[in-house]
Amino acid sequence: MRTAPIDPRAWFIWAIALALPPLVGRNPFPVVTCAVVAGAVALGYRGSGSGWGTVVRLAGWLAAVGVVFNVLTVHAGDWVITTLPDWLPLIGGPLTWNAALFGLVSGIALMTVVLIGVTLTRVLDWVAVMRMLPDRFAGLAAVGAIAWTLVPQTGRALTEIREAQVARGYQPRGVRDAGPLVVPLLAGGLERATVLGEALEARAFGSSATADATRRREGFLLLLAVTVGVVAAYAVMLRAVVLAAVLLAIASILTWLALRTPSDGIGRTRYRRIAWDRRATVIAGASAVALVGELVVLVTSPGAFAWEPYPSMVIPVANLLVLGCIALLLAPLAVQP
Amino acid sequence: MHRWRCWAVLLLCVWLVGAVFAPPMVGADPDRGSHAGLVIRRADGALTYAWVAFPEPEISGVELLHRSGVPILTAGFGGLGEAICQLEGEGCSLTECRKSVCQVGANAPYWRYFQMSDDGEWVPGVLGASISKVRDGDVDGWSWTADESFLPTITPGEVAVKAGAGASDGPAVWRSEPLAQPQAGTLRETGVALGLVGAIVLVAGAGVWWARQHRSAA
Repeated sequence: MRTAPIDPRAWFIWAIALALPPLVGRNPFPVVTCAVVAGAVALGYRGSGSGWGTVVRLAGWLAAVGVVFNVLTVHAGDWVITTLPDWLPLIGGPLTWNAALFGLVSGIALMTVVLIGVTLTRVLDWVAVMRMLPDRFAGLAAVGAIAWTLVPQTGRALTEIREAQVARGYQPRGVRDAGPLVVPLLAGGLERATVLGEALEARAFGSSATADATRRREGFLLLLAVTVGVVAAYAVMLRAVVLAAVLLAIASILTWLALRTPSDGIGRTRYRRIAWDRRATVIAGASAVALVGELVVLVTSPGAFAWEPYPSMVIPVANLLVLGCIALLLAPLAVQP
Repeated sequence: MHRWRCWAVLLLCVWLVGAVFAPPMVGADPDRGSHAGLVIRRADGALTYAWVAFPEPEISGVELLHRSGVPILTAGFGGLGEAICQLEGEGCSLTECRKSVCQVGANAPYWRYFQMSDDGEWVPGVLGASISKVRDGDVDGWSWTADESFLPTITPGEVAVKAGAGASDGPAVWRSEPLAQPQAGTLRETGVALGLVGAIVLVAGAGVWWARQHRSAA
């Protein structure tokens, strides 16, 4: 019997709580703990033929390249490995263990975020996610869901094409032998896109009952809201808090003005609503507690998340409350996968 | 004759005392190489004086900092040179430095570069420390500030004296206040944290095993 999917809102809270530590700092204790939790949940919910293995491997390679890049370009630190001549552009100077360790922690943080995304892709009920969004975002949600499944679909197609070609005696020896793989992959991708487009067209995707002028006004307001929002994000980076707050308020008002226009008259019906069950309560509850704990520590003691081994290698500060909060995020393994 | 000897000994003593305690003559002897001074002012007003000898006729301001031996953290920006992120343990992290060169707000302090003019005034460096030239007898100033330098009025000779130049061949450095220690965890805290991380790994492994068993049974 197929198990009913868990409410997507519980998974979103879990993902935010788990992604927060690797995104706000590079303290090895929370970053490594988050990686362990993300890896365990990803393994616990691993399905067959998910197609994300390539992405995880690619992220691993990127993390490894990041370590090398960090060592070669950051010439700071007191634990020197060796020194390259200064006449070498960019990489000339001392190479340090400090840079290697920081690059390694950054790579683990990157892998953690990728694992969280992979886990979400596996466990989320995308139909339920689309239904949770307001009617006005239905089109956006459909496009987002299609885009999100593009990578695993392409991965699966590549595997199938490779197996078929190997059965025909294909033996790849280098980049020049990639043709028998790439051409069918491209052709198959175009064919799938055409079929998908026809299917969406047949279901009147993108049609509207409202006047063009109303849609143009709505689109203009949304574009303006996004622009102001991006400027607000830049103000946040500059620590101009007041300006950022004003811009965010303007962006919110513009979004509200754009969305308050009457819908296009094409309503959606629901056969059944997704049930909020005990599993969702466990995951959401544990994640909410963890998120609140992390935020409290982030405000009261930011050093619990931050660490830099420059200019001298120091032992990172260990905050047991943060580690305990992250441990709570193993809750998805305690409920039925 | 006895009086002449007394006068000669007295003059010799005065000369010796003067030679020992007098400030070095800046740029007086080309065979001794070049010397330049550094004045660093931290946020709490603590001052560091350094007197650096170098064989070249001129070096850059960043090179002077490196040769002075004061704790320094820089971020490289390729052909644009190096940005000063931390001096004497004060400043911003390398990540922040790469993003904003420590300037995190309109009036936020950063390591501002000054050069002492011929009349003893502190003039903001317009070229940046990677490009600026420091020659024999020059004095560079660094202050963790957003506007005014707050650096003391001083002469190159006085910088050499305060730094204690002449005691050794290496750079001479003197600080009005000791350096602050960076925030770091203790070994006990680290041990407890490592134990907790190990316990989490065990629980995670058990959880994965249980989840797989449950799924295969289903």
